[in-house]
Amino acid sequence: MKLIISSVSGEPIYEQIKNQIRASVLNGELKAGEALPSLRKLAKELRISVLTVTRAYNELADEGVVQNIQGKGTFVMDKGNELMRNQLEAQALTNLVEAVRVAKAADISLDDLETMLAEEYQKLPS
Amino acid sequence: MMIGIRRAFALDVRRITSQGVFSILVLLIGFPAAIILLGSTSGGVSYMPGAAIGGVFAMLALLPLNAFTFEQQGQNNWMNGVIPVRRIHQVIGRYLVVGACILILALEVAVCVGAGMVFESGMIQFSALAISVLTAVVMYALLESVLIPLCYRFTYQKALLTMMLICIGLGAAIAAVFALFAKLAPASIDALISWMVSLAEITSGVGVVWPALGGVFLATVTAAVSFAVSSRIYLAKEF
Amino acid sequence: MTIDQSPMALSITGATKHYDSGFTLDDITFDLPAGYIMGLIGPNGAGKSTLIKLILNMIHRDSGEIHVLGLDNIADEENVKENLGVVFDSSYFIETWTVNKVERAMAPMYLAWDHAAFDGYLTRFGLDRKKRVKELSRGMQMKLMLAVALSHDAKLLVLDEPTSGLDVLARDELMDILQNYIADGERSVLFSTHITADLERAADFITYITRGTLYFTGPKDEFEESFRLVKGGPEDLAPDVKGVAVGIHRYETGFDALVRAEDLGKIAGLKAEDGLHWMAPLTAESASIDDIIRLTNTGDVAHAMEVA
Repeated sequence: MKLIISSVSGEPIYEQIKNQIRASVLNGELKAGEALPSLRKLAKELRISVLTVTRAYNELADEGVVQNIQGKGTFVMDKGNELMRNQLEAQALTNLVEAVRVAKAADISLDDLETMLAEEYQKLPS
Repeated sequence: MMIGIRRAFALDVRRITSQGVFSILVLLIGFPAAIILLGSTSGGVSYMPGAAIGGVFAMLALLPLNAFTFEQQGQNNWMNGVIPVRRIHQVIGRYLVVGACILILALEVAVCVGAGMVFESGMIQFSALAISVLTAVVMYALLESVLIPLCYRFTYQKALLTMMLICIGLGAAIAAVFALFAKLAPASIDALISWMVSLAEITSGVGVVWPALGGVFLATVTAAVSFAVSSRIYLAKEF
Repeated sequence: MTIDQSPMALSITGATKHYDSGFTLDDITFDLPAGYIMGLIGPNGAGKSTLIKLILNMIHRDSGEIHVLGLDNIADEENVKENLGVVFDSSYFIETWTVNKVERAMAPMYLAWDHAAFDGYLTRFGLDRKKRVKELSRGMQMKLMLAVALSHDAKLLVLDEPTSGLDVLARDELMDILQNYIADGERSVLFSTHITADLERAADFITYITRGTLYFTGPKDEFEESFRLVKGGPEDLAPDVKGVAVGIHRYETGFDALVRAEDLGKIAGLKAEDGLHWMAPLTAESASIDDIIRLTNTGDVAHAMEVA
């Protein structure tokens, strides 16, 4: 798994970790059941605070992307699990709302928007 | 508790010997060695033991104070806040250094005086030897008992200065008292002198035991008071 | 988070110290859980060193309690210091001691002295056993103190401005060492610094003291997130901004105001019709540790300017 921290992006470091781990899980690079690097090891290697990594892992656990097992570590959850599904749906919805807002501002009709959505959906491999 | 005191003692010894043990050993061995050497070549040198004891006494008097000098150098006193030794144990450790110096002094005086006697008369008079050792030890204990609390309270230089002022002050006070009596009641001086003479006569009758015990008692009490004052000062100290 | 369950490496409650000079370290309370690094920050004279001296019982506290690894720092002083590694901003060894003598003096002080570990650090730091303390550079003296602090199995490291005499490489190395040190989750570090770059990297917690009082203590991320920097032109400094700002820096072409994140909503200038933020006269951005220190220490100045 690739994890890079940018100090100039302005995005908080824990967000960067979260986003990159989530992306790795979603694109299948991290498989269900796989262990994430240990908190302290990752903190040491990325040269960041242990608490920052803890926060990223905890928030990923709240999203249902990973699971903390006390004393064992943090493991990737199955993509099909309900919590994660809900999270992803919510995320998709948020992005759609934004798309609709922009479309309305630009006077794009619902039909055109649907066509665009369908096209984009086809383009990306599942 | 013991371990704390042992650590404090060991650290003070390290402080005192920071410039190396060599010079200290040379002086400690040098004085008795000079007596023996001079004595064996030229026979009885009556003033030598006194000179040697004076030198040893002066050096040993300054030795425990070196712990203060080095402690006050840079931020070495901060080390006292780092090491796992309670402050009271640090004070005890320092008084143990004085104790160790007393043992060394006793040994040195015994060797110097003893050697002097051997070269003088070919034999050792043990009671006279004991008196010499005891006198040196009591005087040393009294001196250090005053100096150590002064060093805890002031910087090393200030402490020595204070000590000097105390000596001058005491001397001046005694002189003043005598002068006053001599002027107001000359008879009292005569009385005092005759009293001292009679005291000397009495004590010569009692032998050396009572004055010796008195000396030891005086030294012990002074040392105890000195320790109490030192720990009070040091426990309240802020680095 | 799991922090609350961890035992405390350091727990300070209501620590107060008054100096006759008038300076008072007032009612300082914070906890450092075991396994983390805490940065103690604040401008010079804020009371950082006073606090560290209180932990070490080098000065007398007027009130409050200090526990190290659950032990009272005065009642259990020997135990506490056995488990404490200390580094000051300048050497506490006698200058004429050689590095070797430093070990011979320090080794008997600790039950758990580890000669091999000390030797390892000497090699790693490039410290020559024959060199005298006074011949070492300031950075090397710090490393020597660090080597001693790390060689007796201490559970808590207390470092007072350890990086002030170090170059970038040495500071980076120190942070590496500290992160390694806490990697087992049981050892902890409290270090005071005014170089915030050190904190950005390794500190988990921040305790911020200014003018003798505690301004913030908690996770570093929370510290930075609890403030926002509001910026605007010289005419945009409206009463609502002044009302909530904890510190304002004004310059000819504009101003920076430090605002607590929860007060951001009270500033009208940040909002504009249609929720279009880029149209608003003011902008709000995240505040760095330096911004926070800088602007929380101009409070009086800002106030004085209002009066005038």
